[in-house]
Amino acid sequence: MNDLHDDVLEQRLRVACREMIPRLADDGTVADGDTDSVPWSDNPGDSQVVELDAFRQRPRRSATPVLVGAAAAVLLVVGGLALLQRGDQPAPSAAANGGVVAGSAKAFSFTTPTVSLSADSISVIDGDRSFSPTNAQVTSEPSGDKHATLEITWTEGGAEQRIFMFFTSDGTDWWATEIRTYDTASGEPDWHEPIATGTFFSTPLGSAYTGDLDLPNLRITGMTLQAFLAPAACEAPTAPIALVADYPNIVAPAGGFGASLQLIDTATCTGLPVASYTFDYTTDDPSVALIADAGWPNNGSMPVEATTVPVDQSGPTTTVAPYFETRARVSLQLVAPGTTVIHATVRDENGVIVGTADMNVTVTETPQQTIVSSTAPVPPATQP
Amino acid sequence: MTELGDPLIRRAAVAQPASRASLSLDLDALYRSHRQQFLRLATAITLDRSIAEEVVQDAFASLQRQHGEIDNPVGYLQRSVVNHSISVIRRRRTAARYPLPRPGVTVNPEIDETWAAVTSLPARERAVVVLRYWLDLSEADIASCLGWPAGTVKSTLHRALKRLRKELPQ
Repeated sequence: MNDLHDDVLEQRLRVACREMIPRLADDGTVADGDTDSVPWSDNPGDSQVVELDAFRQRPRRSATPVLVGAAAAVLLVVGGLALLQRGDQPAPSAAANGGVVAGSAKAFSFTTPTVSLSADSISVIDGDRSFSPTNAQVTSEPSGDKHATLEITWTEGGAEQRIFMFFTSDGTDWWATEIRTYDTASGEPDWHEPIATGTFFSTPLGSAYTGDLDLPNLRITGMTLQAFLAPAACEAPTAPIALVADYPNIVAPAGGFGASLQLIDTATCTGLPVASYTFDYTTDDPSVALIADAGWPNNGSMPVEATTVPVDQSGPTTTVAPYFETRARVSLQLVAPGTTVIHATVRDENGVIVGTADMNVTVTETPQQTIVSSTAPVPPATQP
Repeated sequence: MTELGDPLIRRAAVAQPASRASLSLDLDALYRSHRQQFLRLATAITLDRSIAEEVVQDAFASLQRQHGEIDNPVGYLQRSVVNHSISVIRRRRTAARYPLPRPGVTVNPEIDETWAAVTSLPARERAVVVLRYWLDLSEADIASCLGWPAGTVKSTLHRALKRLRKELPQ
């Protein structure tokens, strides 16, 4: 099979872009809550993602002290698998309703502010080789109450290994929509394909999923997994308000890094609007990382203006979802390899300190490829 | 490149920031005239409309924070939208969370197939492809827009086209 000629490929790209991109945001006048109707939204009932038959998750009974007869257990497992084969969500395991298995000592245990994973074994299968995470960097991308990630990265056999899981929630249940591992066997390392997409681990919010996972490139046994963990400050509150860093451990190469923090009402475990608070940031070692911009809400009147911009030429002024209201933002400049701590302090309108939080920063060697900063964009010489 | 070193940014010492009223008016006009275009651009890169909305909102918010220090607000917004879209995807790794568009969106299967291949690209490569083939920017213009070295744009586009050729056999 021949590859496309350059001019044919370019023409196809031009046509596809011009035909498809306007459909992505067809009118640009987005009302509040309209994102729920986005055709490729991750609403499980609206999913267009292809379920791969080869991928199986095997929910299993946990070690919780609930005894069920062998026949019932077999029926449960068979029933769960049958559901899986139809592409439906599996029945929650016993532990899924009861939280983490008590007294289990797992060989692997990873916890971020939003996701926890423990397991008896974790293997990334890459051809005839197998890799298991040791000395791994573990992070989560907090993306509000609808999205979260678990990102496990380590080096083994001289190659970078990754396990990434992407979670979503509808406010009642949480589940994973995608599971990725890294392909180091090929000449150009990239994600293993096909990427596992679908609905995995569907479990009520506040509960953990237990079971095994068996994908072509990833096997996990004795797994206990929970996403969208409640902030730790809510578990044993010591003050009415807690300041929680979305990125308590930052590991990144030199460049810009946009960090964020939440003010949590520990009684209700919900985020508080940060507009009336003042955030101060200091760094232990400015030669490693410094504060580039104290960000929102310290600087500017952006939120007031941005929530009242008109959405079209003729219509009335419309409020745009104030997604930023409950998160303070700070732009860090990671300067040079090393470690430091960024201290955040929040004061109320009376100047009283109501919370503090630390962000441990490790600046790594800069990778070969430039990573574009999300902060401080500067204007280009040309206009579109 | 630093903000201070960029001639397109006026500092307060050179020109006083616009008044709040005129700044608000200009931003409103800019928002009306360009939001749709930037929303499409961000959506094409992030493949997630809600994230794209945040990216565009952030870009306008960032522009407003500059308080009249930007001489080329459209260019500023474009760079901000593209870079932030890539950054969001890099950090959230959600590029392939929606790897496939709805099948049969157009009457031409070739268009659907081509766009599906574009959505499978890494965000950086997709951004360059979109800027090149949707906005018809030259490689030099893309480099200028994104603040990348020209060689980086060239190699990124080369990698993207190589992947696409593999995905789209003749």
